[in-house]
Amino acid sequence: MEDSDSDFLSWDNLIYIADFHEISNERHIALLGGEPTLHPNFVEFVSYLIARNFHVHVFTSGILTDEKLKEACKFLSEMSIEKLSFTCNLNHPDISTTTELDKIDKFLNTFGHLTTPGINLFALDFDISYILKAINIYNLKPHIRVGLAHPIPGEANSTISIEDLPRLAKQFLSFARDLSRLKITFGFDCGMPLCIFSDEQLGVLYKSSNGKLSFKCGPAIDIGPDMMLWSCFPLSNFHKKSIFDFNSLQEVKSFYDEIHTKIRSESGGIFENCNDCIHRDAGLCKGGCIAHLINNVNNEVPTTPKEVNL
Amino acid sequence: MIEQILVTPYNEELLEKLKQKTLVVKTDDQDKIQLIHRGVSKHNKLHAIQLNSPIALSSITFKKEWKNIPLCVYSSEFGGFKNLIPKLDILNKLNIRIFLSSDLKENFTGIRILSSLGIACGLFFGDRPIDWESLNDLMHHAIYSQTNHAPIEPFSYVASNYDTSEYIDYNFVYFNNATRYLHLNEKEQIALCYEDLINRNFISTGVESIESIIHKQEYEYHINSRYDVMLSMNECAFCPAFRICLGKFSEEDDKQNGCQVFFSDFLDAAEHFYKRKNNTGNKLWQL
Repeated sequence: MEDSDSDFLSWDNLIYIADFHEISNERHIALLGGEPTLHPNFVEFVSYLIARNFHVHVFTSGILTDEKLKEACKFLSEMSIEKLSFTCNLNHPDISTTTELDKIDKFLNTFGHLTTPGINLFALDFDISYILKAINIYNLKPHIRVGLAHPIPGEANSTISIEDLPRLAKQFLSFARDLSRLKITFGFDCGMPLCIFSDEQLGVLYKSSNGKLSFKCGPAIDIGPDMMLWSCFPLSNFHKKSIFDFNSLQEVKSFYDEIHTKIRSESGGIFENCNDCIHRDAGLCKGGCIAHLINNVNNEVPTTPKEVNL
Repeated sequence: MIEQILVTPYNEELLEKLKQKTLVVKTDDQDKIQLIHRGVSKHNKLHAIQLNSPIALSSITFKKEWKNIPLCVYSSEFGGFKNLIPKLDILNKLNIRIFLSSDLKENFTGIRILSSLGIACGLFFGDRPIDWESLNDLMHHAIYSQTNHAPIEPFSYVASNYDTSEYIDYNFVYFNNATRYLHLNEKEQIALCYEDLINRNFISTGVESIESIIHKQEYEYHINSRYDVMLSMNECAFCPAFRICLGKFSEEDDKQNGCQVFFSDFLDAAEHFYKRKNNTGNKLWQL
């Protein structure tokens, strides 16, 4: 048993994280990356966590080397969905190479029964029909995780501008009929604002999502290989803390909840009318991704000499 | 008087002479475990079978037929966890304690893995210098961790049996204390501890002499040998943690930064555990 590269999560840290979850009465651990399957001990770590009665959820691109897939198949393919599940973000075939498509095909052929497909929306002209086909071909879970690409404050990444979000809503609604027909549900990942949809659109979405619409944004809690914590991927550069500063996940969550509340007290949401929004007051919508708010503050013209960074 | 347990190699001829005795039978052949169990159970009380594995722990083929056999496995190396994965189900059903050598740093992690998976385990001290910091980390984990985990020896033994008014010898964990265990070889040569057996420092020869050993003066000297470090004014004599270490590391070069730090923390942990165990709330006045 070896701990290879120090850039990867070590065995000792994994055990600590598992203990930390256990103490916090949390029996679910999600592994994400980068690409978690690239970890040299990926299969061992997943097997270990399952042996400790955790439910393990892996976020993956589905692009695994033949050797890694063979190993994963040997140890993990017989697991039940109560123990192991995957979310595989599927890019449109047109922007994937043949090699990538081939590897994803092999992955889904092996682990399709444990996999929920996902799509990360970063452009307006997106399509999901290829995901609907994949669900049918690979026997995937009939549910699509719909994520919205959020800005990473201080970095330039592909996102959809706030102004374009209603157009994104319209594009998504164009697939609603197909989703209903194929009995495929969907769920929004965090940071989707409610008001980009009309009441009529919300009615359609309500049915297609089995009534599980969510317009929330809150701390997800990510833990890095160096045992540093942060609120969520877009805020991976903000308020990092060591896991060793906390006694439980509840403490961590309270810490980041407080930070979210402080930021949102400055600016309620991504739209101007978020501050007066009754749905935000009622807790139905958080007002979009908090990373937008931080970006807005960062982009404000400095008002006092102190704030000018020379 | 507590009946002494004989630690013996597997030898049918020798076992024939040890009828009615309680035994720890040692072997380095995993394929003999069932045979030993069958053989010993007929006329003896089996305390445990000690498998000194020449291969890594993860390479051992654990069998479901070992389910009711008290087993103690010593291995120098944990090996690859991948090899152990298919064996975890069986391992969890066995009556087993697994000991790994302190010589390899990976073994400290291996012990954490085993313990967190509910498999009783421990560390035995190898030949190489001890990594006191890693040992201290493991001890803290073994005693203070709030998660459900199997006992880690020798820490668990000391924490469970510590008494503020008594010395405690964690060598019981390794079947290596003459008040309870005697060691003998195939030639029926008997020693008071494993080290004496290896160094051919025998107290007597012949199975028939076993009963009289406790009446020998050498036996008494051996039992009281812990006080030698006191008489020689060794540094250990002034160490507050002597009561749980008993001078086992009196040959260490840098005690102040090594064994003393570790055993002082270990003593604190034992006392903490003792207080927690014995604190049942406020005592009521007596009627």
